[in-house]
Amino acid sequence: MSYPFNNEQPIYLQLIDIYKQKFVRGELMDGDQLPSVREVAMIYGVNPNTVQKAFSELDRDGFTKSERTAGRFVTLTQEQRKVLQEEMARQYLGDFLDKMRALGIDRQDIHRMIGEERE
Amino acid sequence: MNNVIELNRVSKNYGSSRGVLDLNVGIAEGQITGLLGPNGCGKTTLIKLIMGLLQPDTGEVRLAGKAPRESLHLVSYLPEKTYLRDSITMKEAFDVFTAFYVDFSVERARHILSEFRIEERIPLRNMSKGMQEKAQLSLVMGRECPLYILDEPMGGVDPLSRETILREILQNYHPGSAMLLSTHLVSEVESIFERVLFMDEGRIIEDVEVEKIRMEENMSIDAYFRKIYKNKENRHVG
Repeated sequence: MSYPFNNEQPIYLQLIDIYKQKFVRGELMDGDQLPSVREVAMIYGVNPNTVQKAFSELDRDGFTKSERTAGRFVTLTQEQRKVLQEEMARQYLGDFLDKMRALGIDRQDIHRMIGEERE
Repeated sequence: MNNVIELNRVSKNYGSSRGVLDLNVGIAEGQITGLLGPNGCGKTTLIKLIMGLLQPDTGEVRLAGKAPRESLHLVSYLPEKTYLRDSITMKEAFDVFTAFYVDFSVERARHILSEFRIEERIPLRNMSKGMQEKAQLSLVMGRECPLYILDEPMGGVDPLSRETILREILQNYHPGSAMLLSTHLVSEVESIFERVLFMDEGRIIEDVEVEKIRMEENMSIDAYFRKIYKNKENRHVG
């Protein structure tokens, strides 16, 4: 069991992010079934009600759909997946830029550093 | 949601500074609650009051709406210190539990024991402290109960075993049940709690939802815990 969470942030929000990443990467595609709440609680070692809260939020935002007995399934078209990817990438980029600004690094230096990183 | 445990204005005095004072708390179905605080703060006393092992001087304890004595069969309890004789093997303990508890599943207990890689035929006295704790946990989690009370289930085990223990607790805990888990290892266990009670000097000084603390304070429960007790210490000094 690896523990991917930062305990200083709500775990349910981090769980939502982990699942959205799986959708974006195509690890979980339209029609795929999600593991049960209990399984996820066990895999990550977190409270089952926390997992339930994260999954309910994914349902509410339309990423997943819970079918009473069969389980919970991904409902995401290719276009929606692209939109989500773009949205999350922009959010991560914003976080990254905030951190660089906090270090006093300007845009030009950021570009230079990214260029160097690629080599 | 129904409260499995209810304490109304419960106090217990031992004559010394130990004891508990004016405890008011309800534990609902389907909730994993952490009971935290420094040694000697009253955690075990609180648990013994719930289990009817101690009688309150004043106030009332209700277990599933009744006096603890009448509801004890609804509780699977891991005591701080073992009540098993040290010559017993797990195979024998499984037989005892099968005879005692209709809700005990020997298959499940056996499965948990094998996950812990412990042999059924070894007597308790030949096990390390950590193995003994795991062995007893297999008995406790082998039952299917509305309430689990675990008093320091990870006291004497190494960090790697703690993970295994947490996983077994989560796998075998029933979604509708309630669990009260006391520990002083906050950072290792906080992810399985939904709510935590902080105790100090016999009182419940905080009763919080863990995700709310993370959201509003941007703090882990471990950090919050340290903050609370540090503030208290400073007050004592000042």
